[in-house]
Amino acid sequence: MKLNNRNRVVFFISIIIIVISIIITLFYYVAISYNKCVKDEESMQRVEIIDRLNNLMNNIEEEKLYSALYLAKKDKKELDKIKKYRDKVNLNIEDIISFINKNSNISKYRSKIKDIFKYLNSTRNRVDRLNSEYREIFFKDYFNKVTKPILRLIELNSIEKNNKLYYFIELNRLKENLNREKIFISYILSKNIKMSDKDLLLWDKLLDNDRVPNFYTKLNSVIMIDKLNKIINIENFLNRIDNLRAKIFMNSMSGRYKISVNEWLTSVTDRVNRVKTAEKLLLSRVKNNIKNSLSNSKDNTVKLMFISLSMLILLFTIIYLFKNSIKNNRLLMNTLKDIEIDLDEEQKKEIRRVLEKNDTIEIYNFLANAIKEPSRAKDYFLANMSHEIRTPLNGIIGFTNILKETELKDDQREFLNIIEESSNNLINIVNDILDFSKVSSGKVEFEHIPFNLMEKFEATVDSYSAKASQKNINLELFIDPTIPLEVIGDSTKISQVIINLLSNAVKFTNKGGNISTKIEKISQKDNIVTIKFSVKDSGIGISAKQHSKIFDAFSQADASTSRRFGGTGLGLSISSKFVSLMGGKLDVESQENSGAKFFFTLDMPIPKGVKEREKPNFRDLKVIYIVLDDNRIDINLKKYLEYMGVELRAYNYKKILEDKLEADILFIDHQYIKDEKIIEDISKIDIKSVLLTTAEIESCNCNIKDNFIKVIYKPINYSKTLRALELVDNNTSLLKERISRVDDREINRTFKNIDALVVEDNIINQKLIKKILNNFNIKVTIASNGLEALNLYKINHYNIIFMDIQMPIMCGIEATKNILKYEKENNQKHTPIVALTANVITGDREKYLASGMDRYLKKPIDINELTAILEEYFPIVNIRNSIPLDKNSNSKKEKIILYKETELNAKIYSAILKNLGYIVDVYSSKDEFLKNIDSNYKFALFDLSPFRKLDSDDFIINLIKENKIVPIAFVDSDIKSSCETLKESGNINEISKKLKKCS
Amino acid sequence: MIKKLWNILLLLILIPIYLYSSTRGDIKIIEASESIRYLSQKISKEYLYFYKNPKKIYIKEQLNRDIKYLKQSIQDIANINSSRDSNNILNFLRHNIENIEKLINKDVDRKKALNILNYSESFLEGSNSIEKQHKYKFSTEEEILMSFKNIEYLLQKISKYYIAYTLKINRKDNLNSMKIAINKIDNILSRINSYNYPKRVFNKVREANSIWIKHKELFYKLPQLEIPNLISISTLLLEDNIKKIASYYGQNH
Repeated sequence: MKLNNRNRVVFFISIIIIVISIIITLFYYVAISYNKCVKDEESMQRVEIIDRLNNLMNNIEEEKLYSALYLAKKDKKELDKIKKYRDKVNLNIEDIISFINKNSNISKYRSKIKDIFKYLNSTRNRVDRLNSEYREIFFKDYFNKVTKPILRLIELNSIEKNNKLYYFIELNRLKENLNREKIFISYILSKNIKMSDKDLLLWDKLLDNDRVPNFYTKLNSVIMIDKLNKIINIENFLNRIDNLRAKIFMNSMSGRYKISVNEWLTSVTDRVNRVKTAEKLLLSRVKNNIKNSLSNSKDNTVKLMFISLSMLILLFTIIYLFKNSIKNNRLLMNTLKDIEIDLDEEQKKEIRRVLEKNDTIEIYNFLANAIKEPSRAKDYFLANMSHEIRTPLNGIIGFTNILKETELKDDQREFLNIIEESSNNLINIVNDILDFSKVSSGKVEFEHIPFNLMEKFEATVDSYSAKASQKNINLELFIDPTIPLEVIGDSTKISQVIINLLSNAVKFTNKGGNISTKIEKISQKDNIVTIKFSVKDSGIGISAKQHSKIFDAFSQADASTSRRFGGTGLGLSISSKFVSLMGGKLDVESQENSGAKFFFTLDMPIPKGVKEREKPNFRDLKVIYIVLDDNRIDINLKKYLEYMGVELRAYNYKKILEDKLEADILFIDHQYIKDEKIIEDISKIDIKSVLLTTAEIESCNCNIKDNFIKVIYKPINYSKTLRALELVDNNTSLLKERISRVDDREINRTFKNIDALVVEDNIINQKLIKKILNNFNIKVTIASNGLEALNLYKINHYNIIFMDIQMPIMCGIEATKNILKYEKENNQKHTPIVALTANVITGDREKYLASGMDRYLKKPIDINELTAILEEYFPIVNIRNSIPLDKNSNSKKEKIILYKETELNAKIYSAILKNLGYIVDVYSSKDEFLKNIDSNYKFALFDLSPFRKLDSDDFIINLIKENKIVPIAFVDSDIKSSCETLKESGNINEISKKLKKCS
Repeated sequence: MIKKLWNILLLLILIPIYLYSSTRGDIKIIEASESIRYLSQKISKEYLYFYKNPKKIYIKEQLNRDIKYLKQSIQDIANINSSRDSNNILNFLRHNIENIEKLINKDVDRKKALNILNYSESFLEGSNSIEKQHKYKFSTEEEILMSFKNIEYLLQKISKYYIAYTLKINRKDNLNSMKIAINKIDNILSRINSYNYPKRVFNKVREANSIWIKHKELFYKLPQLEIPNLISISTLLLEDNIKKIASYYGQNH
């Protein structure tokens, strides 16, 4: 049930009223119950006093009887008996006074008891004096001043509406009457005197009161009535005594009594005792009832008190909650009123509506939206910023590159370099902010794909070699060769982290410093390899105090650091988050001015079926490392060589020059041995030499490198070391080795008869994209918005459309929908639409593809990505700008037709073959490959598995042979074929050997 | 001839039977009438005593028992007597009993006490009327026994008047009626005393005379000495004595 605040207040107040009502009712019952307790206790006191008074009266009656006998007989023997009962009576009185003293609410009886005692003593004196006025003594003194007040006290203490006590008092009266008659007649009988008219009248009056109460009228308990009736049976109770009375009465006129005192006393005492028994029964029942009632009352009072207290606690809890609710609500309302100032008109209206409605849930919803809104706005802003900043940057970077390829003056080129550097810095900052935003909002997606860790991170670190060499920083890299060939993870993100760490290291390391990157295997278990990544520099270091801050966003070690070195301070924060999200923890060990070591460890799964890295064996090679006097040696090179089975021997250059040692290969570290003369001397020795240098040093000493079989640019890594050793091992000529230095980046593809529609609102981007596509020999038509594109599409035919997203008039998504609709309505063949946008936030790609676009290309345009997309839809017609290294070899026999199933492999093998001096036509389509097989090619290198799947492997081999081409099939290691074969992972040496063998 | 003889024989048998049964019926009716007389006085006396001591609940119980006996006596007469006049009287008496029962079950007061006194007189008249219709020649012994019965009845009557007097109800009339009843007892006792009794019975007779004399003395002490409770219990003692004498006499004759 949802309640707004007004209803909640009503609800709370209703609950409070109900609880208060219950508490009042409970307290009322507690009061009643307590009152009943008090009354029961009072009743018990009353019954106790009644019991004591009754005992007193019984003993007084006995005292009276013996007093009467004493008065009648005047026998002093009777005095002892009188004394005995007087003592009893006295004790009774003391007991009663003591009881009264203990119970303050009956203290008023104290004086009455004392009065009774006083009169009793006075009467006793009369008895002691043997006063002959027996009527005075028994009917006035004893009865009126002693017995009657006691009876009155008993009656005063009787409990209202207590029927048992009512009968007790009735019986008490009867008993007293019987006793009076007993004593009176005993006196007459003892004295043997005639009864006067006065006596007879007194006696007759006593008989008036000789009445047994009717127990049926007020008692409900049949058992009790039966018991009482059995004790006091009217027939026996009356008839026997009436006969005795009649006889005494008849004798009373003569004074000669035939009935003895004992006979009379026996009969009357029996009656009195019966009454006493009945009294006792009633009083005990009364006591028991009061006891039970008192016990129940106490129990009820305790229970009710407990419930009342619980309800009180509940009430206070409800009031507390209610108060808190009101307080919170007021606070919430005040907060809303406070923030109202910062809201727009629409939100102000909404907030007023919410305040008026006074519904907490709505208030919270409003606040939640108010909190979410800036986040959404931030996302929106970032997306826009991404687009708006990247778009012009795209233009700047693109045109800067194009401009750099034109003929420029030196100062112009320098300016262009500054523009390029600044643009790159700017785009890095944008990327950092975007990455940070993604990390903060949890929108970072991590890939889990197999990758070659060695290849990936050698390249990553290599990309920083130039920057390191600019500062003459010795950049070292060690990637543990025992790490499996492939691992699963997000190579891009790890690479990004390492680049960030390297970037910082370069930034904070002074010239001539040292940076060491290490990727080491810590352990390997159950297809999980634990790898530690570390970047150690000899830079300014970080103080212990700053350790905790450096991973925070926008935080560098201190403000001065930021001013001195620049940067957003986001890099380490992003890296730390990336590592954390990948299951590791980026940490640092550093001391101020003693450099820093950043490191993290990741558990990376090993893909199933991955082959182990082939361990090269160059055990027979003799490798010498030339050192200066300080005997410094490149530790990483030593480790790589040891892994390859080579023992690295370090010799001083003087020893090399003087002793002319035998060796297969010499390594000279240009960074240590900078003396050109020494280097030149060493290069003249008849041992194959490899120069370890940096781009910076190399650019200044371009003449030196020609004398070396290989120049390895630092940082030295596993692959470079391996290639250097392979060169020596294969005895490759110096010329061919020079070929290996040719970069295949200049290889470009061209396409035939492709018309592209580029939809882009930004003029700079229009020109840039047009220039790039024209380089691919693609004809470009430009549309400035979606609507223009739609209209152009309706009247022209295009092979591909590049569609920007954010455009005026009609956005890219709407234009795409309209184009798809047009195609459907006109049964037109679908034209591929490539989203071209600077929106790179997570989810954009899926959004665009879901809207009907076929591919996604982010800005600034990556030529390789663009090429891949183009090659997917259109066949490559030609590959231009291949450098003809050996013009003589450009004959028919040197041509190779290459078919590789995947685009990437096609590129790799194409590059290898071109580097080996062959002309290569590459096909990644099986059909195109078959169509283009002709006798102009000397070799046909092809993937056999696609044909084998179709059982046409023999057919293809025969077809190739029929065209007098040598077939060389790429096969898995365990497959046999009817032609020459190469392993899928065949390296350049194997291919070279195979081609030589087949030629 | 034989038939005549049979008829004579039958008459000789039936006539004595008829005569015997007729006599037995008369005796029973006379006895029942005596009982009605006695009970009517006893009931009225008890009611007056109850009026004087309304808390003595056992009196009410005694009243109910006596009314039951009274009803039985009327029923006994009704069972034997078939005369229309007797039946009318009996119906009248029954009606009176119903009224008395109603009065008893209500709270006692002076008016009801007066009514009960009137009803007791009606019962006396009714029983006398019925008794007159059934003449029976008593033997001497039967007459003596009937005298004892009369004394019992008269004792109840005297007690009734005594209590009524103490309750200040028609004091003069009741005192006169009481004196008449005392005289009647004196007459009866003088007749009783004139008979010869065995020694045991004689002692009882003498004791009864003694008690009676004391009673008379107390009766005549009115209005100086009003002791209805003592008179009531001493009357019971005298009545008990008379019953014992009657019983001894009946056993010896």
